[in-house]
Amino acid sequence: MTSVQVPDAATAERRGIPAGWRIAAFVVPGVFFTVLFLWPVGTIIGTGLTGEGAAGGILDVLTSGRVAEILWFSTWQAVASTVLTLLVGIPGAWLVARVDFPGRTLVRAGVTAPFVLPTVVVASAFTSLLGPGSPVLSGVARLTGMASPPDLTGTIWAVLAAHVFFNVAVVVRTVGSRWANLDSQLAAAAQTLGATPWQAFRRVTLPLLRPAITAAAVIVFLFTFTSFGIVLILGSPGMATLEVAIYRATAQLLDLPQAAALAILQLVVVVASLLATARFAGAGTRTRAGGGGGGGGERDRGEAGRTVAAAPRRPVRATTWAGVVAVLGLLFVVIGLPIAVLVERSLAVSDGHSLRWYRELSDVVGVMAVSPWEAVRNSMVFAVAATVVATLVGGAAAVAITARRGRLGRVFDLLLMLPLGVSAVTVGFGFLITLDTPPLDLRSSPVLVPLAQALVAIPFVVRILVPSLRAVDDRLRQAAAVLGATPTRVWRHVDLPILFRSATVAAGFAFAISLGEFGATVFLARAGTPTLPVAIYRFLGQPGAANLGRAMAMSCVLMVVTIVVVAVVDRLRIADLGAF
Amino acid sequence: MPRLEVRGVSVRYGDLLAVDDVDLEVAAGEVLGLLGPSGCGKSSLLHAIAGLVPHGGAIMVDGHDVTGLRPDQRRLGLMFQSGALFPHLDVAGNVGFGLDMQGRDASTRDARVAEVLDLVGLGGLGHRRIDALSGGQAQRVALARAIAPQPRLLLLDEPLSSLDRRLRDRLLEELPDVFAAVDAAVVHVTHDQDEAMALADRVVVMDHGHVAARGTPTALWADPESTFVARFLGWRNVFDLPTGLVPDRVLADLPSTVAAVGVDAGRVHLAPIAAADAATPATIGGGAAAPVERDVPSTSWAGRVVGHRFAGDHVAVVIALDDHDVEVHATGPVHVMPAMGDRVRATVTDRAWVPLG
Repeated sequence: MTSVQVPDAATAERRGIPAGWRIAAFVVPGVFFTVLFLWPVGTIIGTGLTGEGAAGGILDVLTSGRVAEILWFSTWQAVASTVLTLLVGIPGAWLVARVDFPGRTLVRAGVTAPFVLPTVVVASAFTSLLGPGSPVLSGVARLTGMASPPDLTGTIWAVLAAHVFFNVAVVVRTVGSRWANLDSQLAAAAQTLGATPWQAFRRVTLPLLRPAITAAAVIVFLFTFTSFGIVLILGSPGMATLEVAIYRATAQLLDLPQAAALAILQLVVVVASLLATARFAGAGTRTRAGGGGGGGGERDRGEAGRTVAAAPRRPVRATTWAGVVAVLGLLFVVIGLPIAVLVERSLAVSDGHSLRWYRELSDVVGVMAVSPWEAVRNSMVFAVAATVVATLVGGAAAVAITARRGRLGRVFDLLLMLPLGVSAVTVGFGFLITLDTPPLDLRSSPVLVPLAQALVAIPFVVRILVPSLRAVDDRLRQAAAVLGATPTRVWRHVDLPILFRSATVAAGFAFAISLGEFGATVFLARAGTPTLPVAIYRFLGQPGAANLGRAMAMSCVLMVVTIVVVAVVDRLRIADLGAF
Repeated sequence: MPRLEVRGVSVRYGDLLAVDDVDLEVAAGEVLGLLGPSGCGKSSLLHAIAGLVPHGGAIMVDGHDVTGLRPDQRRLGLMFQSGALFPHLDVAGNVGFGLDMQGRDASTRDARVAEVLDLVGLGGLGHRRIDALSGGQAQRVALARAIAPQPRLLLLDEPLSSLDRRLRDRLLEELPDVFAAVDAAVVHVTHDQDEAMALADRVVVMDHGHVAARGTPTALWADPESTFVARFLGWRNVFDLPTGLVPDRVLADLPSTVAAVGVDAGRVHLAPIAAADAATPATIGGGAAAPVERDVPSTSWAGRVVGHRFAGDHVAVVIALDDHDVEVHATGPVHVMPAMGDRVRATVTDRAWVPLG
């Protein structure tokens, strides 16, 4: 009759974060997101559902032929971009994951670099590669006997090439990290059982890579479906993804209800794709769990992802070398060439090469009220502010998410991912139409830009911090507790040092993202305080060699700053952009 | 004609010569144990035989040079240490993989899969998921997968080292039956001398890429030839020459090339020394390997027990000798386990000493 009370071990408090901190960890990001995300985006949805624009209400907008055209273009160019990116990225993943060749680290870094480059820099690179002055196209024209080099800017080819350039890193990192952690004995086993190298790839390696390939494909599809800067700058005036159409409806046609209707449409497509991804990801997890039995150790290494370098140096066969050269050539054409031509064009003047465009960055010219160096300074100030906000809010959110395993944590997790799906243009647009009335009349305030940039960067910060917080081995906490540490001290001496390390990485990425942010900033940056990407966009839109040269020089400056920041962060070795 | 002939094979990883000019021959139906410490090159040699790493020298199967052929062209079965089972296929999918590669029709394939699963004791488990297998079952599937296509060579790369001792012993008993059922030359790589001794018809011991010794398990155990092999096989009593420990009459018979002598712990006999009556030792036991021999020339030392370990079916004892700065290892039956500090006499017959190069 004496029933012993047995506490449920499963619900026991796992993390000893002090209660006050835990509440703050929920409240700070909660308020931030409600005011700066849910309210603006909710207002857009409201405007779209109720407003009457030039084209009529939301149903009139959505059923118009023009919208069907935009939706169709957004979709097929995204599918084409994804397929092309996979065709380049999968061989690239093989190269960096499976072949030990001199310069592998360099190639890995080079393949990753485009992903962190601001879209305007990518657009500049392809303007210089595929535009009238391109040394590459002139060379091709000479070789093929064409009268004059073709101008490929404004064609779909320019858009697709830039999308591939931009997204190859996603495929290489996602598929590559899975590939590097695949037990190499599996393919060897297939071969000893009589499978040719191709059969071994198709029957064993490919099925095991499929979850990673699917995940990468969905991400590339989403990125290119919502592509903004690339299509806006490199496409023809008639070309529009939903994202570009939203921008044009707002900034050029001043038709807010139409823009809102398009934003809702995009939101629906993105959320549907994300839900589909979640199902794929679930299937992927099950497949990965299939690595048990003899491969149990393999699965553990797969999650940790650190043993790649420990693999013994294997002799490389002659046929492998041929593959290495071919893939390196492909990667050079897709990634190296645009960057090389961008640098060359930034130095090209009418009579040869000089640093003229760089020297003239301090002049106030033409389209802008301030000098390009002033824009660099603005970008730095905004990016630092955005980084501080994103790291603090994102850090608090990551702590909140990992402190609670229940539904609240999951909802919070999902909420914070939403800005990834809701485009930057929508966010910028939402800021414009909501934060214009007291007590929050911020339209004339310069804080809008860093706040929007922080909002765009926070999902990345959270994605970097949550896994590393979750990865803290519970046994470490238990060991500390057994050694006499109170819950608070466990958190301070075990969790916090680990969090600090990855927080540095997260801050670096937040800085790089804020520095290059274009979609929201182009709405919000005021004429007197343009950022570097906005300035580049303005110059690219102007005719004349001088404007183009300045745009290229500024793009190079932005590229170098971004790469330096990311390289420093990469030194810390934690972040894996593969999660995006 | 041997089924497998390895002639002057070398494997190089960068500056490291992992396998240096090795020759081997294995007949069909024969089991060759390739034994050595980790890093000795035994796995690299196995992978060279399988065609998984580029190598120098020649590899012949049934008299045909397969050196330039890819693994899939060599018709062999390789069982990996980790199992390397395909996680995306079920048990039958794994076992039938090689048959699919040979283009067998579905009914032949299914019949053969069922047959080999029965052979390894996994009948009826064809639809089991790979992650639902225990460690022992996974290794059985790996074995079944390797033998299903009826390979000419069966290569086993540390097949049992990931298993716990009980499972390992059971598979050690079953493997000879499986080997008997396949008409293959078997090369079994292991770092465990017990495993090699239990399974192999002949053993090749490797060290730093070279062959250090070869012979039948019993011959190698009786005469390990070198200090490396003796120590690797588990001999604890290996003494560099010159040593005051061994009587001159034993040393006088040794060739001048001998650098050390050794004696297996099982051939060191122990007798207690009572504190009062050290002159009349009563034999309390000897190694399981050899009965106590009387009236043969032998050497005897007095000493003190400084270490003892209960090992289930015997006791391992370490004795610090009174007159030499040396510790001697001996084994004895469990019922005579001496206590730490006990005074004992250790005796070795002259014939037990083995010269080591």
